Amino acid sequence: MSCREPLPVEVLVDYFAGDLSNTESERIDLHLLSCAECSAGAGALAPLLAALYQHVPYVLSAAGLHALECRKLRIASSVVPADARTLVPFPDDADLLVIKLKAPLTQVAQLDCELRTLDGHPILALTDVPFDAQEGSVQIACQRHFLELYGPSEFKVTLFRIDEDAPRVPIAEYTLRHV
Amino acid sequence: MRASVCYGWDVSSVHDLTDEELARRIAAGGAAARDSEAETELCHRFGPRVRLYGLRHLRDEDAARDLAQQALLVVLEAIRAGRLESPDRLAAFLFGACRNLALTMRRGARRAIVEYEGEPTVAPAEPGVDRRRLATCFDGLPRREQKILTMSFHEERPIGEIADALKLTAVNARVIRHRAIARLRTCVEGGA
Repeated sequence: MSCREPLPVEVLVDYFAGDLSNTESERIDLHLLSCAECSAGAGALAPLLAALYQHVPYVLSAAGLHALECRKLRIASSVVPADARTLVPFPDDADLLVIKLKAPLTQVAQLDCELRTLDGHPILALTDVPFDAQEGSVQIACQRHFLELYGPSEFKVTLFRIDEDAPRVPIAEYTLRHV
Repeated sequence: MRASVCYGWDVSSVHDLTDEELARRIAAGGAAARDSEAETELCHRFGPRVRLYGLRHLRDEDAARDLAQQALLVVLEAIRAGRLESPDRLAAFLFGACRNLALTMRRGARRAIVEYEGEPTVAPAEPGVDRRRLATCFDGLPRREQKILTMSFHEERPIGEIADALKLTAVNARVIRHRAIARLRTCVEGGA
């Protein structure tokens, strides 16, 4: 039996993203519980969207950190002054380590962030990352599986100020050792 | 101990029943003479749908499965006991059960799954998304698409707020989000 009112994918994305009114969202809840065809379509999409919800970006905005705190993750944090060389241990009882890099950011409109090994091999190049200009900080989110991927190692993080029609300018560099 | 599972029965004879007919058949058996075939079909039919509800409202595969298990048990008990007054409103009844259980689970009172002997259980979900594959595919998206997905799903910000932050219209932000999800889906499923 085919559905008389099939739900378009765009509506399903709005539904899973929480962008519908409560009334509309409940209408779709009920429709998906009663309609085999639409629930099969939504079932193909839902695991990806649920995984996106749990996907932690490399650099966190204040809203992103708040969202993780609300999900009751065990978050350890470490504050690193500009141009410091320091150890950033990942505590055994933490799910996530947030490294707060301090830098002079009040005049910055856009910021890039690069991670390299000590001998200069690129690890990650992140463009247009979120930062707190007033507080002067960038929050790097280190996940436990990074240790498996990259091993306990020393690496450099460089922040670049981006201005329109001008070469990017490094504004702070950090040497971090993960254990 | 699990004694029976949704996917372990021959459900061919009940497969063609409507939801209402299925509920009536379970009610006719009652609690004393359970109609395992019909109960298994109900579980088979509604398990994935309730799990979907759980994914939307609890955002976690394990929690969604717990919700499905508990909600179906609530519904089966109600039907057996004759508490489902209108069998044609089975989905609405299930919706009420899901909403109440999800609310309880969101408050942190997630109960351990209790699997009673003789009760149908929800079949395990298909393997979820490979998180590392997702991360690789996500990193390959244009930066603006990454931002919109992060703000939508990770930060749970409404589309209007995202559009304002990125100096887009809400319609445009939705289109970009939709395109990003399509790209990500193709990549995660092994396409590009």
